[in-house]
Amino acid sequence: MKTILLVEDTEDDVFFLMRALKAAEIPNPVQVAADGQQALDYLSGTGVYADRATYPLPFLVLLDLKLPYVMGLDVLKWIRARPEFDGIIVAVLTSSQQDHDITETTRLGGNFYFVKPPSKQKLIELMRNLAENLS
Amino acid sequence: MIEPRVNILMVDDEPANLIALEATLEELGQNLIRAKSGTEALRQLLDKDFAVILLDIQMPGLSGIETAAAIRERERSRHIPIIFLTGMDKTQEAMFEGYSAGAVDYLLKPIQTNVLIAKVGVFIELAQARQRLHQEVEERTKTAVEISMLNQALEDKNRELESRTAELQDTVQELERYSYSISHDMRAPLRAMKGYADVLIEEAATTLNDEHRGFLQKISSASQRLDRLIEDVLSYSLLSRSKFNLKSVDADELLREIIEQYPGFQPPEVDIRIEGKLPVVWANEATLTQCISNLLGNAIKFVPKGTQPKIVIRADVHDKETTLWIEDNGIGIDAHDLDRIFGIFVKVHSATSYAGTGIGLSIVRRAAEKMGGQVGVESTLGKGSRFWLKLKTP
Repeated sequence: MKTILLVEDTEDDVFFLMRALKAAEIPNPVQVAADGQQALDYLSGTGVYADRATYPLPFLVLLDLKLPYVMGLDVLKWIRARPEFDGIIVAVLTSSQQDHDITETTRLGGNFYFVKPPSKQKLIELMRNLAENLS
Repeated sequence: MIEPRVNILMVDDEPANLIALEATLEELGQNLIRAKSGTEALRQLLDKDFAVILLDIQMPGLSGIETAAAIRERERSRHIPIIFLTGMDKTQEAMFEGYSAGAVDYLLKPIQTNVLIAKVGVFIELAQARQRLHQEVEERTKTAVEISMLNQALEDKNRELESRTAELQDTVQELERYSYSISHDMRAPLRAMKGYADVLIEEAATTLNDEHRGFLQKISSASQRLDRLIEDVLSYSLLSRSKFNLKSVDADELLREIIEQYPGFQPPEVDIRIEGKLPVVWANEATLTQCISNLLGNAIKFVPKGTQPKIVIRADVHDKETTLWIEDNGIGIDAHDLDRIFGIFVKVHSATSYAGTGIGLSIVRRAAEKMGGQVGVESTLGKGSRFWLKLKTP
């Protein structure tokens, strides 16, 4: 089963997202990176993340934009600059509908965005969308 | 204008002649100064200016001709006209000598008083004219200096104002950034409050009594209200800080899209009708969307309980300006509230009858202004309102 990488520094938001994924009956394993640097380390298999069996490359990154150390949009830029991560879907989590982050997300190659917290419905929709795209 | 008195120097070794001259010239009303010799005349010329010098030629010591030559040599007195007074017949030679020493005229003794007065009068006028000119030049120079000083002061003031304006702008910008970032950060804990309350409502419902379930519901809806408020403040502050690209926007297409896509803008809940085809306007698409959806949202919200909102949208197109009209069948606005409703945090209804943040119309106004437009309203209490949005025609 393919892995989802959730990049989110707020514990509460991690909790709500996990709940929503469960409620949406999405069975994929979820790994959490608590800041931008951890996300980069995870994706590049650096340090504690060297073991790909334990920390497999995700097919989907749920990316919060307000992160310590490396900001979400920089993580997105970093991912899109590496051809080996071409297949990774990036869904951005923003806190406001009007954030100029949304236009930036599109510009930098993000695939989706959600206003936090994403509802069960939105997540089901996303998974259905991805399944269609992947098959 | 009163002319200043000028000095006239009379030089003669005969006191009787001096008295006679003085008696003649008195009527001209100037300062008459006597000198009994060429030397004394030269002394007078050291510290005074004269309009004319009447100079006897035949004097012991320095003769009139010698005195005139000395006067001409001095820078200070070089320009002063000299009239020679002579008792002898003027020979060709004496005249030549006199003129080359700087005389401007001759008068033969015995002196004819009317001729003397006429000739001296001319030089008085000349001196006065020169003085006037001199004064005027001085005054103008003074004025020019004053003007240039005033200009300098003005420039300094201007620079000071400019730098103060720049400082103020920086402060305002900083404040807006600050409030934006605070509002932004307030949403995370708020999200947590609402999230956990909702989890409890879902999962602990059976173990709680009705009253406690009600409290949870209140926590949830209060945090949602606060979240909406913050969202509106953010939009408002974002509108103030941002610069937009304005371009031609097809209002018809945009409005139909808004009505189709926004939840709660479709029948049977509401009846929104667009009359005719709306024109192309000069706007920013996202900002215009915000304006229209706020106006439509209000039109739908402010109806008497149980009434289906009926909204008609139409446009007046002129050469330079397009007015979009949004007419509703709502509760209308009291005449004395018409001016207030576009202000920030203004609510004219109680929170229980019509809930809102009081920012919606301020956003519309600021958005309209940012697009070079205007917003306003006509209304009859109890019958409905007609909001208008004026935008430039591209």
